[in-house]
Amino acid sequence: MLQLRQASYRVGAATLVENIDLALRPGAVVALVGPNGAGKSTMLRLLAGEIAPTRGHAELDGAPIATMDAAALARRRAVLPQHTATSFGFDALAIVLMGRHGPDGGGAGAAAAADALAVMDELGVADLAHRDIRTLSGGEQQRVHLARTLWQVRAFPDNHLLLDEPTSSLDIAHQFDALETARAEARRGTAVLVVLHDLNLAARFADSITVAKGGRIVAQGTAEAILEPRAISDWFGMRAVVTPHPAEHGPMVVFCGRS
Amino acid sequence: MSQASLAAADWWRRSHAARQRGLMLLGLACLASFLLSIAIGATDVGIGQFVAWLWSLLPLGGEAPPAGAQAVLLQIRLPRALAAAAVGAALGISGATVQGLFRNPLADPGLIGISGGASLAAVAVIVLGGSLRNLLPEVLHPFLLPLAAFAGSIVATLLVYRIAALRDDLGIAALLLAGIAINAIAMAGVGVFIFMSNDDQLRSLNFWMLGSVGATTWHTLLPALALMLPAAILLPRLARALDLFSMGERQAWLSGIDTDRLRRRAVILVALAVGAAVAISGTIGFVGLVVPHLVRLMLGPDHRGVLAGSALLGAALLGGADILARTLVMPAELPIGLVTALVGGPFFLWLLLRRRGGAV
Repeated sequence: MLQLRQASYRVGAATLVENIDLALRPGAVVALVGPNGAGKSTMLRLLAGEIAPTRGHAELDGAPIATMDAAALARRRAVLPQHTATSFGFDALAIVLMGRHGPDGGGAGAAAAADALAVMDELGVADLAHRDIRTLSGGEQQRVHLARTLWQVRAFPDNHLLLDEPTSSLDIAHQFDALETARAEARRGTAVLVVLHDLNLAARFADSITVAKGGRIVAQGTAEAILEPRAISDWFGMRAVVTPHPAEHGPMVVFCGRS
Repeated sequence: MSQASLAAADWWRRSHAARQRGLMLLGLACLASFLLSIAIGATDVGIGQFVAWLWSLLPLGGEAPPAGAQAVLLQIRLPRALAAAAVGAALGISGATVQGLFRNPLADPGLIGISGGASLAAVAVIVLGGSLRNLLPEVLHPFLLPLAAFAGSIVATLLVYRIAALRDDLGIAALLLAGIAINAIAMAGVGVFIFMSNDDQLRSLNFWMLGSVGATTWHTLLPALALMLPAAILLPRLARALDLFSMGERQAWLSGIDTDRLRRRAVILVALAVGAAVAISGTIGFVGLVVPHLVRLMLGPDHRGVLAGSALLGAALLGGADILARTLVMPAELPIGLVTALVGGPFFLWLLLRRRGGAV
């Protein structure tokens, strides 16, 4: 289990996040939502071990993350940042294969290539395998990097997957595919955190939603429990109607305008 | 296994085989350039006599060539050919490493302060040499210039590295910015010494700054080779980590690469190799910049090919450049840096303009 306990992070006089309690459990998808500047990315970086809390704890199975080196961390969690720019013309498949070098020196050999391509196939990017990554569209690149992250996370059991706005460049069908893939990964026993902006996607694909605002966590729970108009107005400054989804199980949020 | 998986496995095998073939080809080019370097020169001693000399060293060997030819081969041609190959290999593999580290195909080992520091120290020795020499035992005199150049490159690189470490929040950009500043300061120092120098000193200054492997002897070559050895052995091991670096320092770290250690190792090894190269040959431009480009065009961006390939192609090209340098205006010699810049510059422009819309 990867978790923050009463974690705060300060840079100079600015407190980016304060007293955060956030736990990722095997088999569950947690959606992290909140307005811009809420501290979502800082929380993700704390969980990823990129930065250490200036107060409080960031722990993996009870041990502080800060003591682990990059390779050991890469065996226990995989991270998809919002944007990854590649500087040389690697094939998309070569990029996916890079997912396993850091953790254990894997990602080389014919069998690994076949395995990595199978993961690309799951995300619908197998036909891009031999294209120069830099010539792909933003959405295609994002899916290739998602495939790389997924391949990395599957190398080890009991793993954690941290996705920072994985749907930001994707069309609607691929947004659904990507989150469906993340949920399926959770069902295999992985703990998943996904930063999202779309409350309806969060309601539909996450087991629980965590709402961040102003560097604090202001709500945590299932979509049914926490999504209601007054709270949404407080968090996002938007008037909203919450209705049962007409076709699916669970609530649906319709935004009406600024509150 | 599905059709697609079979295709992926096949892709892996084919690209692996293609890389091996490409490296083999570059190795042959390197060997050819080396043998030509030994065969061609001002005196009438050719490859036949070299082979005869090698053969005579074997237990069953035949008759050795005349002593004069032996001396030319052993004391002039062989160290010079080895120096050209070693300097070319060092500049090539260092260029490839630095480009990978900075994620920029226009990066050059000079960026991290190496050439600035070496130039300043070398120029100082040339201009102040008279008084410095009196302080040293006579056996050390021939080593004064290479030692100073080497020390200058190492000091400048360490300085750049220490300054960058103070701002490690900037990552690789700190290294670049510190390198630019130290280079500028060093070049200002070079300017001061040029201003102080007399005509004679100015000539040797010029020659050193344009580069030459003509003055190589075994005494200067062997220590330089020893300093290049760690880079030759250890830099290729960084290949896959450098592949991940192409996704950015943050992503490389998130993917399990100890980026601080990679940066430290790469900078130290490059400083040793290029410092040693500059010490025996002066500053030679364009090899570290152009060679990795050519290898990427030939073998693709994978650093397992780019690092080894750049060493081989650098050796082959610098061997060729040295043959031109000593034959074009015989019996005089051109500085080798002039040849590499004259050939490399236009070639680089051609690379730039070759394909509109394509990547550099």
